[in-house]
Amino acid sequence: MNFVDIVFASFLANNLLFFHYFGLGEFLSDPGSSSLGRRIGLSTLLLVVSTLGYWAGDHFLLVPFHLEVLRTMLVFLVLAVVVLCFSVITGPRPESRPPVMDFLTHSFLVGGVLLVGSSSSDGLEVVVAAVAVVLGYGGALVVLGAVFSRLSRERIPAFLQGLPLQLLTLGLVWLVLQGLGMAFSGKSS
Amino acid sequence: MLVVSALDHGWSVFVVAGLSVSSAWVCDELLRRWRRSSEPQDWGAPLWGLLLALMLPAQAPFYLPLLGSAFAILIVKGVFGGEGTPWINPVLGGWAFLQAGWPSAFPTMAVLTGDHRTTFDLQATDWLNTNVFSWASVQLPGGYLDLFVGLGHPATALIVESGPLWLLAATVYLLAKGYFPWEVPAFFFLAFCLPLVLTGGNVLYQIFSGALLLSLFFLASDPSSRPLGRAGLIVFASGAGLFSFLIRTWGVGSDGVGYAVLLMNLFVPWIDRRFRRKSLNDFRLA
Repeated sequence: MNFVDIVFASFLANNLLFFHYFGLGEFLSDPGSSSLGRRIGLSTLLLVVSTLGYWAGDHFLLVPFHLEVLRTMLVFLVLAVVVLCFSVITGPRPESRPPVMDFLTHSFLVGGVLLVGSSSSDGLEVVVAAVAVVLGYGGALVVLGAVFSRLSRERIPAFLQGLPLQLLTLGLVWLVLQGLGMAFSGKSS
Repeated sequence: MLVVSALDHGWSVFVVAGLSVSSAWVCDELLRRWRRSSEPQDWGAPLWGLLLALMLPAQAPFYLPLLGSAFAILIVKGVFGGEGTPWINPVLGGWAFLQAGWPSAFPTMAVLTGDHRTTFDLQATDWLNTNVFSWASVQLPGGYLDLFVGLGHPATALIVESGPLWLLAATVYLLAKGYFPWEVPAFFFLAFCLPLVLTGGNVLYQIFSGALLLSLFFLASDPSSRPLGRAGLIVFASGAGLFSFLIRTWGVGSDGVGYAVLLMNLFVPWIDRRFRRKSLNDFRLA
């Protein structure tokens, strides 16, 4: 097992997953959001537990019985069970309960679980990859929040303000992450 | 540095540098006219063009310097407000753009061998070993003086690899004049060399090969994309040095040290927010 490779691949290169699956809404939201730590912590827990559940189901049920076509169904099933358990554990307080429908409908988790869960046949490697992915995601949120905050004080041309500027910013961040992925893997993805 | 590189690789070096500088200058002039800027044009854009040229292969195709400089000036600088506002280094932005688009144009890190030593390296190493290093009972292996002076590189080498000696000379002058803060090169160097020594890496080779010295002294110290306060500078430079070590140790392919600086550029707004010194207004508002 090469954990250094796994962490760097997940933290840097595979983090592009979030740009594809998570959608831009999260990145383009208010950078000063106060629930950032809780959101990242929740994402970590959900992704790690869901990925492990998916990996176990895939490894011990679907593959032995040649039912690989049901992988997407398994992801939804695992996510539903995990989020339901999480809601029961966290109690009735609405502010501490995760936005269940948001998480279920968020393709981030579906894509993340599918990608990370199927990336290795080793349970420990899958957990390391899941944690690294969410750490990378948290880092991206922090970085983009601060960058957008700085850009709000610059003299940006009027026609570029708003969405075009945010997309260009994301494009540059993507360029850096893509390049780092290439520097570690030696090939473009 | 360009002259030394031209001695090794021919006049194409000047063509690459000329195209890069002129492309940067033209794009900057276009940008100024479009923005109807009344400020006189400074030497910032041509200097960025020159720095980008140094990070290109000596025999790069003509469109690489043209496109790289255009991307650096029009996209990285122009879109985000112009002079002094880019939040990532425009030179490295243009370089990353070229790396992503034409990765095969960039050479892999050269391996230090004694096979292609120049006469200078043969004679000077022999003289140093006989007259200087023999006193300390150590021997300088062959090839290091070529690396230091910038001779004997393959045709695909980066232009900057032809001049560590001249780059250091320029750096001493600029540091003495106070053009950039000492914290950036000092902590970058420390964070790069310390883990390298601990893991038994070849420190001399790692320092004098690739674009490390250029990144360390010039690109990481760019005023618009570095943090403001001293604590921020230390965090920024240490992070860049550490990531450079990781990329050089675990990375493959071409020299990716520029990505270490770019990655820390992404964190600069956060570092400024986290480590900046509070002004009087902050206390008043509090």
